[in-house]
Amino acid sequence: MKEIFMKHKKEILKFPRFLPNDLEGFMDFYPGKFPEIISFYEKCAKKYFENPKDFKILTKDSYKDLVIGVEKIKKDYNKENNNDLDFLLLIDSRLHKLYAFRFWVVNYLFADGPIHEHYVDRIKFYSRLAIDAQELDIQDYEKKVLKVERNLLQSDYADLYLRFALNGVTLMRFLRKDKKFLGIIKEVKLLVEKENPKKNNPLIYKKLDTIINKIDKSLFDKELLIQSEFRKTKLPIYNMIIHSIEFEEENKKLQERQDELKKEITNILNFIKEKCSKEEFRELEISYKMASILAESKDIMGNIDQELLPFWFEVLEKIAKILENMNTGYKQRPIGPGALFYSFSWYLPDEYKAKIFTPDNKPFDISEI
Amino acid sequence: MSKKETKKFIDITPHKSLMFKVGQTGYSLQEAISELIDNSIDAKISGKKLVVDIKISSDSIKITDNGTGMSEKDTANAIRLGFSKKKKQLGEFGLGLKTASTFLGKRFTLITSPRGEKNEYVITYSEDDWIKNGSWNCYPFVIRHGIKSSFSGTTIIIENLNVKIDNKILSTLKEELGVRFGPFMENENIEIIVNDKKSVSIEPKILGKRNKFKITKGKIKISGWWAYQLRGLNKNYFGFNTFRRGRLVTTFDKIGLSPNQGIKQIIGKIEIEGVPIAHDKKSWQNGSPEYKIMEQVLRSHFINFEPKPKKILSGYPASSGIVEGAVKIVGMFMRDDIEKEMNKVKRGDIIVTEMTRPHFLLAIRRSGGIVTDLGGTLCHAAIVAREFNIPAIVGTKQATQVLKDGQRIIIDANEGNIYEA
Repeated sequence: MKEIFMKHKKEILKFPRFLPNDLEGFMDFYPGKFPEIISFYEKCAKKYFENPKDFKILTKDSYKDLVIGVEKIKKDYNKENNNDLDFLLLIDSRLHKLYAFRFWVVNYLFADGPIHEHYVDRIKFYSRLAIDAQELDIQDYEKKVLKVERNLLQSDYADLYLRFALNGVTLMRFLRKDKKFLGIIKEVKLLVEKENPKKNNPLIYKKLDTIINKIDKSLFDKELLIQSEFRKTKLPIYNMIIHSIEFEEENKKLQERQDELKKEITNILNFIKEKCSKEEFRELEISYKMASILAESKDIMGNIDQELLPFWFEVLEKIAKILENMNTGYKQRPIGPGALFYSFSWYLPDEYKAKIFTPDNKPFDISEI
Repeated sequence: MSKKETKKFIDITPHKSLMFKVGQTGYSLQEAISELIDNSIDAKISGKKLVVDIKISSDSIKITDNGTGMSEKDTANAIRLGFSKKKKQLGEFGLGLKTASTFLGKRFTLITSPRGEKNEYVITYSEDDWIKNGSWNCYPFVIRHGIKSSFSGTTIIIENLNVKIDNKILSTLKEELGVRFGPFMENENIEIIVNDKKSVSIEPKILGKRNKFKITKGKIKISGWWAYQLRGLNKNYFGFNTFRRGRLVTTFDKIGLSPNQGIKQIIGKIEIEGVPIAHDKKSWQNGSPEYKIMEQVLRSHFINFEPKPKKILSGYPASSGIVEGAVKIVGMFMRDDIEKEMNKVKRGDIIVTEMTRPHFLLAIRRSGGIVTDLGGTLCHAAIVAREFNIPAIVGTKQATQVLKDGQRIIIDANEGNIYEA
């Protein structure tokens, strides 16, 4: 089995030819525009394939670079205040390079690609050992296997959504001890139930400021504070508190479910451990950890959307306007930056076409972005 | 071929495993417990509040009622497979106690005190003992003396459980009991308590409005309301709660309705006059000419309203549930301020998107369901939907193209189908 696995391993570490969910056609765009990305990915794949701890570091470092890169490009964009096509295309191509090497690799090539698929397969394989097939008919057996698969693949990792929801349980427990806060909670709840955010959100935010200004910041999830600082707005904190109030009861149930899932996963893993060799169990452990960290990496990388996308679309909007004013017949479509690249490139003057379609062979360096 | 034949008699005493094989009938925990509550309801003392107290832990299930209790003879018959004196009552097949109890656990004890007697009768069943030492015609039966004659009721204790009890299953149980026995709790002075908490009647969630109607055919008068609901945990919980002179007669009565109603079902509450009821007042005399006329009249009325929702799309069922709501197309590529974008989603809306992204959190918590173009059962939308218990169908390929903002749809995330509402 080991031999077959090793052979298989060579295949899954190669740069893939296709990716599921490649809505924007990056699989054609990025290897063509940035040929270095193939060797970069393959190096990463070899290094991090069986190393969940280090892959987490890669994810965090990539995200850090993304933040630095976006801030740097944004600063240049704002400083120049230049609306020339040449300048805007340069900004767009810098964003693509940053996005390709620091987002796409982790968020799509790893998290949606052959490595992810491999670990999902292994978990599915071992899930069958978690069910005693004796005395079960085939349908019952498959149903139970599916449940184990889902639990293991869901994993005990609480993604940001869940973390904020669970953080809400602690926060509400604290707020409910204070009479002043109790009054605010009631008022906010009433305003939220009116479902008129345009009118009521400013009022809600004002009320929540009383809470935010009085309580210890350590009551909030660290990631929430980072998001707030990065976006230079209190909106993520307001939203978290609103959700904690709005979904107070549901959040308590989520906490119970999460605790149960953790127990269930421990039981499943212990049961399988009894049934397989040490080597096999190690493989399952790595598969479980990798599948979990791959899900977590999407969560971490996804945080950049809020900062990156509106900025990038502003640049693309300007490019679209220029092309429309040039009477090229270009019309913008509601799609992402990658697909938009293919959509507007046909309408560019020839010299720009040559520029944007020339491969960039320089390896990625954050200081040069 | 030889014309000679030998006739002899063989022993067809059932194999002892039949006793617990009858319990292997694909019950769910809630169905099995409902079966035992049915027996309690059948034993309600007229004019007295029936209290069914259920205690569930990971080791045992105990169901106690203050009903009539069973006489010595009835108790002895209770352990017999297929024996029942009940006609047209909830537990008329004489299997419920055995099937439900052996489904739930490997050991059960039945303790019952009949009204006006000073005795208590006890029967204990244990799968292991039964297989080793049991006998069909020599079953142990205990009579305890000196019980207060004013006390009556029955207790069933099930141990060595075959089912796993967790919080999720307990909350499903409470919900199902609220739906299944809601009409009894509301109309029949019945209280069900689960782990010290009073069970509340759960009104079905109605799509649209209640439609009032009145039909008269000769002496027969039918009046009440009907409405649509979405198929729930139990496919059979639809139809009418029927009343005579304000008193509940039947629940989930399918009279005049097609038995298989699919995703959208008809429910209602009707008062019936002019149709005879059975002597126990728990069913209509369905052999009577009046009943047949009523059936025909209702059939011809409801045939025009039987729902046939049109299937529009399908995908992978990623997080189970059935829900109806308005489509809200949310682009995965946010162009505006995230809070503004997500605030467009109102409570109960169905988010339709290419793929969900982490910034969708604000919207997802308020949504009734999720439909995506892309992804499989392990995609972001699927994981998050399961995490928050929101029905989701993923990988439909073209939901964002086919569905329109504001369109009302039903998503059946158990099967992966999307219907026009």
